[in-house]
Amino acid sequence: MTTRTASSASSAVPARDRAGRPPRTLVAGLVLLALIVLAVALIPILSPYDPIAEDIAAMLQPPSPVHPFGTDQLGRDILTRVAAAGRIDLALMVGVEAAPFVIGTAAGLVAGFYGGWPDRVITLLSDALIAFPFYLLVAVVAFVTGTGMKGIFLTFLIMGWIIFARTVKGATASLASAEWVESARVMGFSDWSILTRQMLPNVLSQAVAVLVSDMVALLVAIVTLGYLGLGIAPPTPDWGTMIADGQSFLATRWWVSTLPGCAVVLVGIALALIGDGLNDARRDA
Amino acid sequence: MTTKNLKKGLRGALAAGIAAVLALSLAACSQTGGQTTSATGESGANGQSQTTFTYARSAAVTSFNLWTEITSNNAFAIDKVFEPLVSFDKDGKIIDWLAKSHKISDDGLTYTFTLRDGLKFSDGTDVTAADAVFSIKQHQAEKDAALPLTADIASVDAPDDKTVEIKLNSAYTPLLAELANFSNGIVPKDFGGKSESAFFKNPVGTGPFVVSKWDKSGDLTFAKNKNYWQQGKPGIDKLVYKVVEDGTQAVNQLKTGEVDGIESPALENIDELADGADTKIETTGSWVTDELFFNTADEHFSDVHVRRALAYALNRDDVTKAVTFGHAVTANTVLPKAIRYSTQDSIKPLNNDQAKAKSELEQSKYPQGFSAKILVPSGNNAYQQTAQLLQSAAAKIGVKLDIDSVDMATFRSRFKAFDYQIMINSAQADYPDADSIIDFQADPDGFSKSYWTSYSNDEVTKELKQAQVTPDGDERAALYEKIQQTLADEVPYIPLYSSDIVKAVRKNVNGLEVLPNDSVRFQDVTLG
Repeated sequence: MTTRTASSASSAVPARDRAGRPPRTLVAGLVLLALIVLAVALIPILSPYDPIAEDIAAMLQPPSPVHPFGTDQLGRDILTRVAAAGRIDLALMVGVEAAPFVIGTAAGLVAGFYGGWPDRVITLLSDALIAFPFYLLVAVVAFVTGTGMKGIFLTFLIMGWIIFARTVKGATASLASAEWVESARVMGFSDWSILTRQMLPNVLSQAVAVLVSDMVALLVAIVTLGYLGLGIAPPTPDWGTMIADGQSFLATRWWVSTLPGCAVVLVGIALALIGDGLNDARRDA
Repeated sequence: MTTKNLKKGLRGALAAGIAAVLALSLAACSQTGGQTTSATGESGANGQSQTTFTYARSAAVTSFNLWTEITSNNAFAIDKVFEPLVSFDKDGKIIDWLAKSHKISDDGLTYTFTLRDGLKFSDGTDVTAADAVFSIKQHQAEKDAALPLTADIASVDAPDDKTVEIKLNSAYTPLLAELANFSNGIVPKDFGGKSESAFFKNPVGTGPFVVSKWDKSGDLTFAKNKNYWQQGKPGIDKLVYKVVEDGTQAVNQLKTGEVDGIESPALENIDELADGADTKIETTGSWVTDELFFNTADEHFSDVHVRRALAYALNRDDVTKAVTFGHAVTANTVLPKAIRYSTQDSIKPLNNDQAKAKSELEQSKYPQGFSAKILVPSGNNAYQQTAQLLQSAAAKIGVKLDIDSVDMATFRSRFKAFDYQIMINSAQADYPDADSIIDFQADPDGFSKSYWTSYSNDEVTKELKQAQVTPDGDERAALYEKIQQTLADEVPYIPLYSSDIVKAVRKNVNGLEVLPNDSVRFQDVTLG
């Protein structure tokens, strides 16, 4: 590290450049995620069924060639619904995670680079917020805003940035005392330039690894809220509500809850593999 | 949600604590006595051990005030402690209960009841006609009566210790059926010397059970009434009302034997429980109808055309099929078929006609459609699915409905405060007379203001009052036929289905009598 010059540091991020090949876990995760995204994108277009329209005559049919995932209590094709719900849930997951990621990373950079009062304010805020049990806050926000996406978005905006701020702050602080930062200052780079062009590329890989694992937690939260009836409201299909819909006959008609549940698990596995892979790549670097 | 989990956690900790204490005391017993006592079910050499029947219910018992309570969580605890002069059997037929006989004069103005011999309250004091007179008068005086005695009663007297005489100013046909209601149970005269509020905290009645341990937000334990007038009954020593809010959990607990019965098993689980290795079901015809209710004081639903439009938009047969799994009939009228004068088989209800739905909406104040909310209790799968069917039916005619799921307590407090637009709920007759349903659902001046719909139609009000004084027969039938058709046409509520009354129990449970009002009698229950 100490031998690096300011100019070489700015390009020394991705592990791929050094190690040659990305870790296998990363590749497996990315392939799995790509397959899921593809399925979620295509199935609703190709399927002959409407994810919302009921067909009582076809209620609760077990998986068959006509309905590969079976049908639910209102006779809707579960495969089509799982895919349609995937679009909503995955889009929500990415959309909701974006703002906390940007805010948290920025806050962490500033706090880590300057220390002092920005650090103290951010530490205090994140300590205070982290003291609230997450689902309690969700329930309170849902009570105020009503059920639906607004509540989920707001809660994550309030809570989600903390983990990024903490991670990035730590990484930035350890870099801020490095000699090349001093040299960059001597060479006349502004703080803004050092932060965005030198620091950010160096801490981003850590933030992204956190992002991926945090997305799993967020997806679980979205699904849990749907399951509890506090999340996405019908008729919009959602994995959580689908799991709840089948709960009462789990023992007799397993497919109604189990298959949407499997979708959640698959996305979780894909993201976990990607997160692990990213961490491995960073350690190798 | 959080409080619920917290409660469960506490309950779990409590249960674990009790289990530990029990284990210790059992160990102590077997050491000192040299004679072991089995946990449940068998009798030891020195007297009987305790047999306990645990009943899973979705809500806690909050009050024993038989005059002011109405919801089933309380009603079906009250009827274990207090008993009326007359009652009804499995088929809804009126039978003598604390009275050994009754007589109604030909002009319908004098009702005479003769009490059984040897009746005692659970504290051992004798029951006399004066207690019955006190109870009825107290009920009449109750300002917050939920199911008030609406007959024009001139006097209630006790000519002797065994005879109760009720005289009316004008004939009132439903009186005998009303007296069979849990709200006309007999309490000791002057509450046995206690204040009313103290009495209901520790109630004394003639029923088969007495309250032994009571957590108003949790479980309730009844002990056997040792002075019960039916010799040798009840057959169980303890009856525990255990709150199990989640239906799936209740099913699992029944399968493992943690509970002996489930009060309201979900219809989708019934086939599984009927065919279970250790479980069976007990069933009877019902006085219950599940319905969609409109708040007719709401700006949208005050418009009869809006209500008619939704009634036409919905396919009720689909609802029945989707949510009752073959254990119900589609309801065409508010009166369940098991009650006399129901026009279930002859009425013409509005149902499943898109074209008419659209034309009704065009005639309304909202030809372009509007948005509103359906209030449903979360965790009730049948209602959640019904709400989705109504939602998509409404969407087809341009009405956007959102589903507002709230927990049961919030649900109850909101509809009772008229704070809803559409809700899904069930209505059950409390006594076997058409008036029980019609008066509760269509009398704007009644306790519930037409089942919290605020529905008011002077013609219907007049007819229902007329039916109350008309003796049973064709004339009364004609009045109820007309009322039912008007309610079907003006749609303050859409009747959906009448489910069978089903209780799930362990296979070793014998003698459970299931009643058409959704309650049960436990006095003949034995555990084999």
